[in-house]
Amino acid sequence: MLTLARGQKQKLADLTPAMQIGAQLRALAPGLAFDFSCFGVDGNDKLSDDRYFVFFNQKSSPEGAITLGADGEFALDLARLPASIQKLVFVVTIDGDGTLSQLQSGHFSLGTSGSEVARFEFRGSDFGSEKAIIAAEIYRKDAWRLAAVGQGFSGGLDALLAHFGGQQMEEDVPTPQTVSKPAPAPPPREVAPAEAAPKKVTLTKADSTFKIDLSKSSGEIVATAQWIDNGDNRSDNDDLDLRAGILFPDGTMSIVTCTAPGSLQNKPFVFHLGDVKSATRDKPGRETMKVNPQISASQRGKIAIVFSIYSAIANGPVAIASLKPVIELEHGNQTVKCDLDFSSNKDAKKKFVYTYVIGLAIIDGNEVQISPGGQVSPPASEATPWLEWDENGGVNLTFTGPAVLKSGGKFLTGLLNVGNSKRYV
Amino acid sequence: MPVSLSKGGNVSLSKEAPGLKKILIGLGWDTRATDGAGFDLDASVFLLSETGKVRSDADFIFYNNKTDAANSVEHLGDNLTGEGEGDDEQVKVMLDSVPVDVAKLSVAVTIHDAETRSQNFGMVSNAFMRVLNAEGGAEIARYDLSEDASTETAMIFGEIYRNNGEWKFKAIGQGFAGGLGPLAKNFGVSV
Repeated sequence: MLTLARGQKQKLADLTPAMQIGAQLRALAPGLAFDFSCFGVDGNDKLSDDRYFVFFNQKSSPEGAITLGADGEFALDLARLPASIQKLVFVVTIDGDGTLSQLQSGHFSLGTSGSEVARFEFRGSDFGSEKAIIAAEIYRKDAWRLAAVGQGFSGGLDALLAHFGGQQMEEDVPTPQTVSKPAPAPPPREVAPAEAAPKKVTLTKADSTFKIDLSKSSGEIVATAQWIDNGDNRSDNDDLDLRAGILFPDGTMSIVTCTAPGSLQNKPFVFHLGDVKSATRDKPGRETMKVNPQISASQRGKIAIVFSIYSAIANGPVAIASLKPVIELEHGNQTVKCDLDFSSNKDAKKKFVYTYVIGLAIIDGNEVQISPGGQVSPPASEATPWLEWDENGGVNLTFTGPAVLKSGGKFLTGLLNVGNSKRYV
Repeated sequence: MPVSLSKGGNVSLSKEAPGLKKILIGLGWDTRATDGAGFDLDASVFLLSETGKVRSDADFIFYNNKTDAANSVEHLGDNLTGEGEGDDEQVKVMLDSVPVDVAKLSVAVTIHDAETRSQNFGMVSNAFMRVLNAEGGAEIARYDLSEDASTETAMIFGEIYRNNGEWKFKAIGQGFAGGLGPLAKNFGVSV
């Protein structure tokens, strides 16, 4: 029997010629309950077919090549798996509170006809705040191989689902109870600083940040939002608008939209280049704003800009998440793309959510710190994202800003803002 | 046509790519998708004399010493996370400029802080090291670190060496315990 170290890879054929094998997940910790599941993912590591998420509510894949029995025991028949399934990912999640660091012992083992051929043991000291871990993977690479993984997510099953891009999951498949519980946010990540060479960084996590150095180039900051047609064969609901709310050092806010395009040379130093009304899969919708790089220097203080995507009520029901909005902030040869997968955010998938925050920039002198944001307005609310300086020099974002309609006049706008004392200047 | 190298395999760079002037050593890996300390892989090159040791500490080319005195080897920059497509770190070797008293260049890859972070190449997704012709970008040799060096934390990837007036590349794929410091020491660098 082979004992694998974390990270170790092994050809399955070196362990056993059998294609019908048994896999077992075990985890033991006092007071903790665990769920064991298997994701059958495609060549891009995505769960493109949710029938291949085998867990306690769905105990078998369609052809029966993966079946879950009692106590985390899986019966596998690799030869019967369709070619579209490239990897089986064996997962341990905590059902309830606690972290994997509390683990007393755990293992993933493989066996054929009653005898164990490989084992990967893991323990609490291998982990920190993880609430879900990938214990092991069986995958195709020329031949079937086994990997001892032992890595995971503090965001638990939610983060795991997001990782495998289980898009239909929330709607179509009964999910374990743990999904409905709010997962703790993973620790903020800081990406390595930009090199002098042209660099494009993509931020895919809501709390990830990246800094652009304005001293390396003299041009404007160009913010380009992009979205696709959601493929619903309607052309009336792809009309999104890029908006920017600008928070000045004195705590006042301005808003820039396609109908209130602002100015690059004068306050608010942000300029909207014009409305785009439709999008297709081949030709994504795109709206651009420019930001004067001197905005912070000229105002003698920090500036915060919240970029949001807005879909008017009149456009009909559309979950903006399906339009996959992204924003790129570009300065000289530095580009930061905020590409959040809103499909993993349940609130964002609701219809009648009109505003999505797709980027947040804090400009302090020559430094721009960018993060994706990711907040969405409450359903059926026209409230805009509102920024306030907090005590630590950061910003608080709430959906308490006054409604700003594309059309509809002062009467309707006034009606929507009754009782809201906040105003854009 | 890239040559798939087994350990100890030889490729004549002059024969594989006649007229080869510059080669690029590429190191690539995926950013860590799971939570925990990021993966920081480092490429380095040692210019070695006949004795198998560096002539001086300046012959150790890595993220803190990006080029040698003759400018024959140039490290194009450190990447701390694997962010980006393709090669995340590259080292350029101008074969014609390599000083005559340098008999071979040893190419290594290490994981920064592997011990304290309890990491190995197998934990990193899609980690590879490769040698390519800097002109045109044709790949000459490649090593899949994630798959074939899964339990290692440091590896001597290969050697570029002089042989009868031509340059050859020898795949070594030899794991090394202890990381970049001990590796450098092994090649005679005072660290």
